[in-house]
Amino acid sequence: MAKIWDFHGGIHPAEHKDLSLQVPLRQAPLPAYVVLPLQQHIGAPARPLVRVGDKVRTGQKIADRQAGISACVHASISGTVVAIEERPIAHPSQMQDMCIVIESDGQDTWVERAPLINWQSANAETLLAHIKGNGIVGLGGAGFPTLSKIQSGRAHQLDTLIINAAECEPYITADDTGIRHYPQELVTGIRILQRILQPQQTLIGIEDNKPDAIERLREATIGTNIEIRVVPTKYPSGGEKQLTYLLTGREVPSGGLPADVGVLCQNVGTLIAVARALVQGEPLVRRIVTLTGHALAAPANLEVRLGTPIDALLRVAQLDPQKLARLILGGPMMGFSLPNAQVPITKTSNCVIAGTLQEFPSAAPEMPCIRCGMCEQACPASLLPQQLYWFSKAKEFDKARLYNLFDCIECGACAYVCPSQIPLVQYYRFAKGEIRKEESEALKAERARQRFEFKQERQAREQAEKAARRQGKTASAVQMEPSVQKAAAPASTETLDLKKLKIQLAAKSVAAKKAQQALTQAQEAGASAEELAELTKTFQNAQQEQAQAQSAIAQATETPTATQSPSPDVAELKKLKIQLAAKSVAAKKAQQALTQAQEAGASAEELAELTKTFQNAQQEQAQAQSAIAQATETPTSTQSQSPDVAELKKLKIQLAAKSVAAKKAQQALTQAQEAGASAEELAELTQVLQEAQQAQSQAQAALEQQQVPKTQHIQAPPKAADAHLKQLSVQIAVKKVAFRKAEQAWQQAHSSQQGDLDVLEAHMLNAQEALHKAQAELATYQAQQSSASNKQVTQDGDQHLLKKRKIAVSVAQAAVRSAQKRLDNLSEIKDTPSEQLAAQQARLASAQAQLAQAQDALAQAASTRTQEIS
Amino acid sequence: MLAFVSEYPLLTAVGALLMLALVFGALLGYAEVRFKVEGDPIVEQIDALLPQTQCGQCGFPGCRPYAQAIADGEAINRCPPGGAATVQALADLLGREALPLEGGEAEPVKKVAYIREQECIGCTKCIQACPVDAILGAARQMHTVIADECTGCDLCVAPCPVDCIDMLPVQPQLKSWHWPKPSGPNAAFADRIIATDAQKVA
Repeated sequence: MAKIWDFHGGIHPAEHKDLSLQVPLRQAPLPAYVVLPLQQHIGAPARPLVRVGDKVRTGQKIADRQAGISACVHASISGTVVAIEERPIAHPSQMQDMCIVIESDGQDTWVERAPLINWQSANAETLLAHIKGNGIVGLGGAGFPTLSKIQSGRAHQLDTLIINAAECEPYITADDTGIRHYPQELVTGIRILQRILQPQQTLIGIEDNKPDAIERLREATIGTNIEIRVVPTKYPSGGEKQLTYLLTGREVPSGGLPADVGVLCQNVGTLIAVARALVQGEPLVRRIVTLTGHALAAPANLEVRLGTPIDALLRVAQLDPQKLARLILGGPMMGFSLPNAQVPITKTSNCVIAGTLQEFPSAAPEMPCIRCGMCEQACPASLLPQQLYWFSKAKEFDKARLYNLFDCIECGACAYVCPSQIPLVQYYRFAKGEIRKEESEALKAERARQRFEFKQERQAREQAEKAARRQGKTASAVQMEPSVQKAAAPASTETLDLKKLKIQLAAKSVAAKKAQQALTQAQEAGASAEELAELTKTFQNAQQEQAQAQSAIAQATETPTATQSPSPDVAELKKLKIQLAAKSVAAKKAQQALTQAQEAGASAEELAELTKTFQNAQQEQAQAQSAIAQATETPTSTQSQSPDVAELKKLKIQLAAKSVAAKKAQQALTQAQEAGASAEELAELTQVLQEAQQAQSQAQAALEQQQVPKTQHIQAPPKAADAHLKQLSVQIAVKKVAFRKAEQAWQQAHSSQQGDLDVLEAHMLNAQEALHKAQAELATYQAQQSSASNKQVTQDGDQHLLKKRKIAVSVAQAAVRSAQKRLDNLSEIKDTPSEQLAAQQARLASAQAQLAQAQDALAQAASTRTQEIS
Repeated sequence: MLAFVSEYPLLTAVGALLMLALVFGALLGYAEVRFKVEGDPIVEQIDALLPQTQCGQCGFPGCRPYAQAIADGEAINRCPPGGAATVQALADLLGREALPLEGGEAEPVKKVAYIREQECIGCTKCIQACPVDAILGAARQMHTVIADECTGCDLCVAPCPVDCIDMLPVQPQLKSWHWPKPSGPNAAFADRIIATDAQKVA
């Protein structure tokens, strides 16, 4: 007889095992439905593979394992998936979890089984793949996926395989029954594991209170290298670490696993499941469950399909509800109470105890600890339960950890012996839970800190980038002035002056801002019109001063640059530019003042005055612009460029200035309209606008004319005819713009019912007329041109002609379209005089006639061309 | 040498002490350079104890600034999300008295931000406010909270122009559930007292 090492502590509670051993193992009747939780094991929950409404057969995989520690789930009956939802599960928290609910069809039709027939010769990987695919987890109680356990064991140097058949907890006889009924399968399972792990010794640890099972095992293991080690009955000899010590004398280190001392433990039920999975191809869909307790008339061990509701099993075991005081899942030492029986049997449910009040009297009230030390005597893990109790109770979790709280196996021996009926295990569970929670929170906090720091870093980076961009922009705007200064003159009197001026400017700006604030406040407070006017004047003065200071600074800034700059032209240009900037600021401020006055509801005279100031400012701005333009011209012209180009540029700049002026005049008009200015004022403004527009179009025309000869000059084959054509089209474009503007003015006046509508309309019609004329001119010219080129016999000329005709047609089409549109517009606007409508209609008709002519010409050209080609 | 010692005992003693002082001074000076600690390690330790919600309820812009402030003498009871446990931990670390939490609330309720998504207008204001980048979304797109990353700091609630963010208490989950603390002997005693009293009254 091999030596048995006795472990420290342990208890000898009443066994009550005979209760469920009176009748042999039976198959439980097929349930009407099963509820299969996706998590029946330690680790990640399985992922469903089926959908509601799917037909499944027994043994079909309905949920797949996830990566890491996980296990799959198989249908335990055939039928229809009726729900995938949260259902109450067997858990001390009484919470719900995701489950797949299958309604039975009563047939129990199996999927095609895929046994591994030649497992004796298969390699370890194949065997492990089958264990993995059949969803096998430890059936002893914790439900650790068997695959993961074996794999972690293989990572260590294993020499001993221990089969845990101790089943030390009272009442439970599931493993005992399994050994008695399936000894051959158990031995097959052991041999499969031996094949995978190649251990030097294989030991079966079994308590001496199961003589029948020991006898069966002896018979089944004859001729194998499996040793049976009978250990004395003592709770908790079935604990993994305790059994390892009992059989091998090796103590599992604190916080370690039996694998650390070269031992792997497997439960009897798990090995039977492994054998069934590999030899018969039957995945884990059933297990042996002990139904016991004195509230049952027929306690027994049943082979139960997973997911069967416990109340169905209780009916089979003939529960007497009158006697039932407490329903316990698991053993009386480590199990937990079930508040109701509507929860399913899972892979880890080994026992259901329906206890009477005599068996399980309600817990006696907890008394204070008397420091008797009996818990220390009973602890099989050689811990100090009393100390752990104090620390857990006082929430001194650090100290509890120091006293190896996590080596506690929660066997309940200490609570069993406690004379004060202190629920010690519950204190330890609470402490463990709190510590795990704190750990996870610390982890989360760490992650939050990292994310926070990352965000701060990112924001800082973005800000720096923005600042760099801004700096780059200002640097380019100032045209590297300061850097030039710095390089040339270190702290000259000029820079000092500049500084002084800058300070003055800042002071003036502050004064202007204050004046503005005062004005706003006065407006809000509803001051009288005179007060307002006075304040506005102050504000404007302040602004002027500010502008002056600005220009002074600008000049001062100019001086050093001018002295250094090689050409006086550049300096001049810069000065002008700065003046322009100052003028723009002044104009903007004048505009603001105007807007404010309008909002404040100033009198018409004040408004008119302000508008005048604004316009003056704008004019000054425009002048400055043109001056700059001229200045820009000068150096360019000095640089060996043709005078044409210089002229062209000048014209362009003039055009730009005029456009700005026109735009501003239009803005002023709109504002005046919005402010409801008098009709005369409006008319005046409209006049100004029109003048500006005319000036603009003149400038445009001049530019075009200038451009044309230039194009002639530059282009290699200068064609006078083409130039003329271009001129004509440019004229058309100019006229178009003029017409559009006139039309806009008229429409605005019309919508606001103000201004001299008739004058505006006449203006518009004139513009239109001019446009049409220009278009006609172009068309006739083109016709001439085409007739001239018609005489040319070359095919190229024909092609050219064809193109021109086509262009003429499209121009005519456009004219028709615009005439039509205008007519539509006119007819939309109510109370348009009928004569106007008629005139417009006539215009449309003439445009259409022109189009027809152009189309004819095109057709002719096309026909002549085809003739020539043929 | 011996003659010198016997002749000028006073000078010898002074000289020996001077030598010793020089040697130890050099040693200390070297140690100061060799074992110099960068930064203040106590700030790191305090920061590790704070819950890192970055909520600013302590009056400092984030947990680390508060950790710095505690190291400089600020009160340790200004962290509502940390609760009494954090105050206790800080008290243990710093050897100060564990004061009751400022503001009263004893046990902090863990909360998580929840965006009512059909009301979200996609203004990205909450995204900018979130200190831990736990809100996902883009301009004019619906936003949502990554519940696992949310610290429940409340900072996103105020900027929301349509008030579509709720702070919901974190629902207990099966994974995070653990056994509650037993009520203890005194509680049972108190229960009995109250029960008998109730009987007497009835």
